[in-house]
Amino acid sequence: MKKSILLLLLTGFVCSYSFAQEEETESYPVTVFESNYLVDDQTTMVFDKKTLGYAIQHKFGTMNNGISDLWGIYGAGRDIRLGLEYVPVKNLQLGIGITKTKMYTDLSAKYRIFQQTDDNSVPVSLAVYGVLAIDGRSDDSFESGTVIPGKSDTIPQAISFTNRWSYFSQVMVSRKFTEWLSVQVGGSYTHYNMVKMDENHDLWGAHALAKVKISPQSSITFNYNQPLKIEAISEQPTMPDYKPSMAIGWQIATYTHAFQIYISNAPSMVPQENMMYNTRSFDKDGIAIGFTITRLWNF
Amino acid sequence: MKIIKLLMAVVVIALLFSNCEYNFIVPVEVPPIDPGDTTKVSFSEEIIPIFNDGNYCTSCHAGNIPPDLTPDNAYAEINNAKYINKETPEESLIYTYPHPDTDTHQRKKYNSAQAAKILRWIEQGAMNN
Repeated sequence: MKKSILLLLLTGFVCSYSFAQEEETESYPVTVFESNYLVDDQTTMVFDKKTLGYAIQHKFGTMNNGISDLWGIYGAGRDIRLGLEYVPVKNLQLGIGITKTKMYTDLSAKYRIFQQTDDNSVPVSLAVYGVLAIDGRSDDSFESGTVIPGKSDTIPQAISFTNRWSYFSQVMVSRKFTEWLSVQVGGSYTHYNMVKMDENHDLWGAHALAKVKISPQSSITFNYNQPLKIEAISEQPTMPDYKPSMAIGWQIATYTHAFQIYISNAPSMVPQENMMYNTRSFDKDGIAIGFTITRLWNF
Repeated sequence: MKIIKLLMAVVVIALLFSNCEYNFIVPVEVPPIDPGDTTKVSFSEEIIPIFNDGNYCTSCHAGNIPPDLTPDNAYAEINNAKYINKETPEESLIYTYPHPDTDTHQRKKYNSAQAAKILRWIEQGAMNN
């Protein structure tokens, strides 16, 4: 009898251990977003190791002139960005890009700390993202071409290389809730090393992205970026008029390509520029058509 | 392994933020305008150089991209209701579009003194003098 009970217990233990093993081996990572870009914003997606990504981003003029310039398509080109991203080690993406706005050169890094799994043992994907952008305009684009380290300082100094730097850092959490719905939320911090007298150096922000799949390759996408007007970190008596940026788009994604066409009121493709310097509202005068194309190569 | 991952994340962020500075751009001093001063702003001697010195505007606006701001063509090109609003000078497109406080023109902008001079020229009738 004792032997039977012992055998039963052992069998139960082995079985439950086997099931646990099976659960562990059957846990697969979930692809929350097909592309590392959703319009201008980054998602938690990081390509496979040794993958190179190339991004072409373009924003046309605003749509306020109507048919006379084909809703901005024939208007003065608003912004263009060309970017390269590479994943040298698993979950770490390094990038470089050039943008027409302020002739920015941006260097970026994204690290995915963990990824959602299909068995919900990891319920969300979590990533951190940082961008260093360098303003490439000539010195005479900055009023007198000199800076002071504080408002009370009186001796101007020539603009140095690091004065041109600005930073954007973001923590993002995403989850694929159903086969058709993926959502990402995040918080960010933006810092400019050099600003005008009536501007702030620092800005916090909140972000939300969503993707609604409507066919195996097509999705409707939503972006919302909200600058947070926090009086405690403001250096100005009157808070600058930070405006949120929004985008509604359509994405067609395959394994190596993603094509996104959208309307947005964000002025640029560089995240710190969009957070700190968006003066446009999401209305007829502020929105523009744009597209983002990404292409991947595996090595 | 988790500690290594977290450390990598911290190092990436720290590297990117290791050089935060808090500088302010010194604006160009705009000379105060005396209301009694009737001296006219000269289009040829004061406005044309804003557009042309160092090809500041004419590196792009020289014929291909409107308006053409080269010395021979600039006045004819901007002397119309699209660019100049004589009723409300501060709403003139040639003043507002590259104004330092707007983001309509991304690449280059007037500095404060140049913007003030353009506005004064329009307020005085935007003459080809």
